[in-house]
Amino acid sequence: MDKNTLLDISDLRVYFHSTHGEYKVVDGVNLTVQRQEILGLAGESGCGKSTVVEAIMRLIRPPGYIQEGKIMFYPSLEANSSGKMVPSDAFLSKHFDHGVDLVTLDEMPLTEMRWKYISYVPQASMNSLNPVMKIGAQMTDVILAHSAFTKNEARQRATEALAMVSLPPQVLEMYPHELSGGMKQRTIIAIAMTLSPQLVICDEPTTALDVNVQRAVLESIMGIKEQLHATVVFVSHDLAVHAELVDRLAIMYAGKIVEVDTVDSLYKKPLHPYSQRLLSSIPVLGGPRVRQEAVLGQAPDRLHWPSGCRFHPRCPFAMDKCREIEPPLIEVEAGHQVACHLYPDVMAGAIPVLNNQKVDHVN
Amino acid sequence: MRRRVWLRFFLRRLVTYIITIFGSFTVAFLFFHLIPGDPIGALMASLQQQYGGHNTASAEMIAAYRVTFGLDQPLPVQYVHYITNVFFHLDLGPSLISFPTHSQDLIVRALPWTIGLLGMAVIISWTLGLLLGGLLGWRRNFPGAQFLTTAAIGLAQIPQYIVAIILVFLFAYFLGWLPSRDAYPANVAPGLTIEFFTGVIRHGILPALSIVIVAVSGWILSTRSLIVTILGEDYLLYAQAKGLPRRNIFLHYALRNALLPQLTGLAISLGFIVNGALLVETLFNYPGLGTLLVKAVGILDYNTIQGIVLISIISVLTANFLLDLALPLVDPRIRIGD
Amino acid sequence: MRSFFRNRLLAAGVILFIVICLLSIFQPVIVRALIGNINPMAQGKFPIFDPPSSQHLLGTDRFGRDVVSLLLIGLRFSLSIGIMAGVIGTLLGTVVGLIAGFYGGIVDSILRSSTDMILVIPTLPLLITLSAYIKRLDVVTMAILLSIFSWPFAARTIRAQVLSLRERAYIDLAQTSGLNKMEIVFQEIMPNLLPFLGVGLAASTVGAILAEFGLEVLGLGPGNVSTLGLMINWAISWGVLTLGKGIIVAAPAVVLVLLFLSLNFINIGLEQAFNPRLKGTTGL
Repeated sequence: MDKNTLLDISDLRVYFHSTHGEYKVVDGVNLTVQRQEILGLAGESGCGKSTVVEAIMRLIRPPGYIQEGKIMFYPSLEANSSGKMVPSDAFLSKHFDHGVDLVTLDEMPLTEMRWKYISYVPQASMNSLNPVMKIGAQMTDVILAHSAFTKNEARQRATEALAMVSLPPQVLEMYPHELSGGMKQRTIIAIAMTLSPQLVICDEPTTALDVNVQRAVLESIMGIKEQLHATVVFVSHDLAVHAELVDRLAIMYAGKIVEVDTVDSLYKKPLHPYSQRLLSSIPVLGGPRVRQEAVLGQAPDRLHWPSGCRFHPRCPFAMDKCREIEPPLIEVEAGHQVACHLYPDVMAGAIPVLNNQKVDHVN
Repeated sequence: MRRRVWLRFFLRRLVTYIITIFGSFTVAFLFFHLIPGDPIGALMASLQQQYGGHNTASAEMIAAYRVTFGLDQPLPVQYVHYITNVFFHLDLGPSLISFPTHSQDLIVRALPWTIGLLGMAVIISWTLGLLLGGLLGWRRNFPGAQFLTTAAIGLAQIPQYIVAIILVFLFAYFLGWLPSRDAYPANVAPGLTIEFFTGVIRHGILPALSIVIVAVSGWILSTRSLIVTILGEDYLLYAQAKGLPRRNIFLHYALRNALLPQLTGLAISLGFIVNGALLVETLFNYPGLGTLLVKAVGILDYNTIQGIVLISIISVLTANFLLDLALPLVDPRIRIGD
Repeated sequence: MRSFFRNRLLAAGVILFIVICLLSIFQPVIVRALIGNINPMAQGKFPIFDPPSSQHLLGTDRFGRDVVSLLLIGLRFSLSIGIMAGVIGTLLGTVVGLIAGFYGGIVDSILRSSTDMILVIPTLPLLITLSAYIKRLDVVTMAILLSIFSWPFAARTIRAQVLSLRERAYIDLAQTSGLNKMEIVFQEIMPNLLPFLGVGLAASTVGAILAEFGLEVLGLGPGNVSTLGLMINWAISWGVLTLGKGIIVAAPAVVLVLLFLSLNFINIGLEQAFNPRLKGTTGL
């Protein structure tokens, strides 16, 4: 495996059991995360992006379950810079060379490695803080659980983490209900940083926040990469935010990855028709006035994904092949993967353009 | 700054408390004066009849009583007399049960037994119920969980009196392990002796158990459903994501959030528990307020009845007041926003 | 239907309750079948303290009365009083809750304080006092007495519901202005209250039966009916445990327990139906 790979997700399937049938929320996802990059995960509501990261964190609860797949995690020796962790880090010494499958990891080592290696900024973080504990207590408890620090040292560390997100030490003595939404969000990010993990997963951290607070939160997240040299997986439906923040972007649709590329290249040259539509929906300030074409149709039924390529009912370029065969995710140029039947057939350079094109039929 | 906020909170609660106490006195007064059966007239007649004629001393006492309580005067005047005597002088008037002893003395003698029994039972059942209910909500499949839950469901609303009967039958008559009457053995004098204490404990087990078995079932069930709800909360999931040890999550994230609703629930259910406890006392002839009330009602001892009604209401209101004060310690959200 | 039976607790409770109701309804018939045309409350008709036999399934009591007949009478009485008091209490409570929730302001404050007061204080001493001084305690009077202390529960629930519904109703009103306010509010609020009325009724009934039992076991109920509580009171005063006639106190106790169990199972079964996570094993 590439020495630079931190996380390697192969054929991940997460299903939700219900009386109506199985909801195949994540249905065969292959994704790699490189060390010290910020990887974005984008897609509309219901595409499965939050579920993917919940699976990485092993937080899938009944009626959901991981039906299949591997999530290989390759912790590195150099990254843990902050000394005084558990004296003999059994986890690291056992797994750093050939990695560990997070899906099948036993509960004990899982609990041990959580937060120390992979931490999490959940969706709607406002409610993730325990209402009856002081912030300080909620920060130090995780530090103390995973390290050999004393109470004072843990507190010191917590103060440092708060400073990294521009929050004053007074916050430690406060209760969650005394903080504003933005402060709570930044606190959660600070808590995620306290053990200097190698991977931080952020799920929609800027949703439901106003623009100014969003800026502060985004800066905090960028701080994670810069100050901790950690890897970040950033989930959001907001493409504008991805544009500003992430290095590489993976776009999901209907439980599968449809396109992956570096963000600059992707925004300039989106290949998958869905990505093209998504990206064209961002108005460009100062550019020529173009007709905004949104993605037509409605999100598909999660119980019964469409046959073949799942996007074919809404795709302006759908062919007969698309209805029958599911396109695999293949690398069409360096670092650029796409799952679409258009691509092996189309010569590089001749890319179907959607902007300003009137579409007269939708399947 | 915090101290002033707390002071304001305390004062506000105190004022409400005093108002409710005063209100209870007034309502009790009206209650006793308005119910059919003319309790006071009957009392005076009984007093006169039983004790008035026997010697001049008691006749004088009855006359003095009439004056102190203003019994021949219009209602508002009686009310003033009543408040003055009962509220400020704590004098309820002579009892019929043991004339000329005043009712307040009888009540003061009985009160510690009731409070001791109830207090112990309530504390034990609340804490036990919280822990067991918490465990049941947390992990549903340890051995005996299903049995415990079903037992709790069955027992939660059976009258404590019936449980007491069953216990007495089983342990007092059938097995003969524990006594079935009184608060301490008849041959032991009350005092600071080991014999007295062990006697009190032995005699207290069955009455307390009757109350505890029913109350704890209620707490187990309510805590269990509360914990189940808490399990679905975001902060629980987050605590898990943090890789905290399970015991930590159970105590600090789950159970601690159940404390506030359960403490509030305790305050509300006290009246109900007292009802059951008073009845249980009568079965065991336990020398508390319950037994006293039944005796008083048997001969329509107005003053004693009135006193017991008042003291039971006031005790519960006071307990509520104290619990109210404890709430901010348990849930920081209470302090502010008041 | 099938999902109803899947909830075993609820099913058990309902079945038990139906059996109890049937026994109460057909009580006169059953009694006549057991002991012929004799008034079951009449004393001296049968041998005193007879042990259980084919003629008297649970024996006879101190006054030579067939215990089974007495039990059935008591059951019927407890049930009817409980339901009557429960209905009256729920009605009273609903009215109070409606007024408090609908008018708000001072009216609401006063009503709410009184409701909370009655909920919090121990009501047994008051009930005992009332029964002691009111000499003629017939069924209706007793039901009214009991309901005086059971209405707050319904009042509280209904008031909370009215308050939340009122918000919604006004929003709808804003959109369809011009219609009679009263009518809309009534049409919107009333139907939504029905499930809560049901729950309130069940809870009030249980509370009423409990209170009634408390009074009778002290000997304060109507003395001419062999209510379950009264039977226990008699049994204890006769010292049946020492006499070895435990069945005379056990029988009414068991019947009462079954009654409460059935109501309890129904209550909790309903709660489980609305919060399915309470069943099964979904731990962390």
